[in-house]
Amino acid sequence: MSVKFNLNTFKSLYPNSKSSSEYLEYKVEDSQYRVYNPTVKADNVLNVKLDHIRADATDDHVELTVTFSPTGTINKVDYDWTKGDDGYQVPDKLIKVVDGTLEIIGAVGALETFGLSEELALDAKEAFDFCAKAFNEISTAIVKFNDNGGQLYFVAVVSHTINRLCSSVSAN
Amino acid sequence: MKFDYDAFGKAMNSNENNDIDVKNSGENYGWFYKDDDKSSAFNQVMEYRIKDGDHNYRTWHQESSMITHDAGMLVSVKIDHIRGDNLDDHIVLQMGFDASGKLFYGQAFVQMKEEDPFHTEIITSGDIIDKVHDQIQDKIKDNYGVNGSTEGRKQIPHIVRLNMEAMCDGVKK
Repeated sequence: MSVKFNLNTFKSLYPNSKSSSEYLEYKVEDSQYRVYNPTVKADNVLNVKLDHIRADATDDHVELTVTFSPTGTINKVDYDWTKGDDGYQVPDKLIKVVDGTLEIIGAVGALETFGLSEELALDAKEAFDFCAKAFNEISTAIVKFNDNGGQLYFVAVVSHTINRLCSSVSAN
Repeated sequence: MKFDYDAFGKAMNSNENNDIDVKNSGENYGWFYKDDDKSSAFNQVMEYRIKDGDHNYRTWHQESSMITHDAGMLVSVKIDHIRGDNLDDHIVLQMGFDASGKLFYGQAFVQMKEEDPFHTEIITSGDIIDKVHDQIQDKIKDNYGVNGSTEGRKQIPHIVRLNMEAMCDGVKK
């Protein structure tokens, strides 16, 4: 059994976004958040790239590699964050600020799932755990490097993206 | 489940202590397009000031996403403490609601110009709004210096509380 990813579902979960064939994007003030179509990297493994396109500075880039169990439960996120420099400079020096793996160790485990079956409840609990942990871990790492609200908010964009990926996969 | 922006606006306009004035509250409960830029719905903001002092803040259009199998919803928001020029302070909040609409998770990150950034823990128990408020409060200094907008910064925990309470009102089953 392997996980099936539905791109149309994924794209439909971004309200107020503009979609093109290779990516979707949405704008908040002078920040443009671009989410490329996720690709299947291996069985049960999805890869997604995101850009934070900044009007007056070089862009930030994130790459997520998300691994699901064969039944569709998220169980690993590898992430790679490359920060752009401020100002109008050519990005001759990209700083890799965070690079790591989120695992389910120390799960947050706070979501009540009411009537869901045990299997579906596990999907939802894990999805939430990864979103909360990604937001916590990546924000903690990048908040030190800047005082730019659009850059900090990019972490929330990443967190919502993990959440939406989880809603776009199903077990075959 | 969905996030109802009007319900959020109503709550901001009629908060318990009624201690903020929402700008242009007569229209769309105060939501308007920043710099009249209508190219993105996320450019809608709400601006308000603390009545007791001239301290101004801005809430950006919230973003929400459902947790798989409709088990709940994540909602995030960016809030500015408006200090003018390139000096604004920023707060990013993320909150989680279960399928019954109950708040079960909150976390805040705070960036102030020329100051060390700080954040709350991942909070998932007890009175979540109180805890986020208190953990931010603990990090606010008594004095930020001559041009540090001390009084406006001291209101940040309260502003976060008002936003969290109003976001709870905005979440509809």
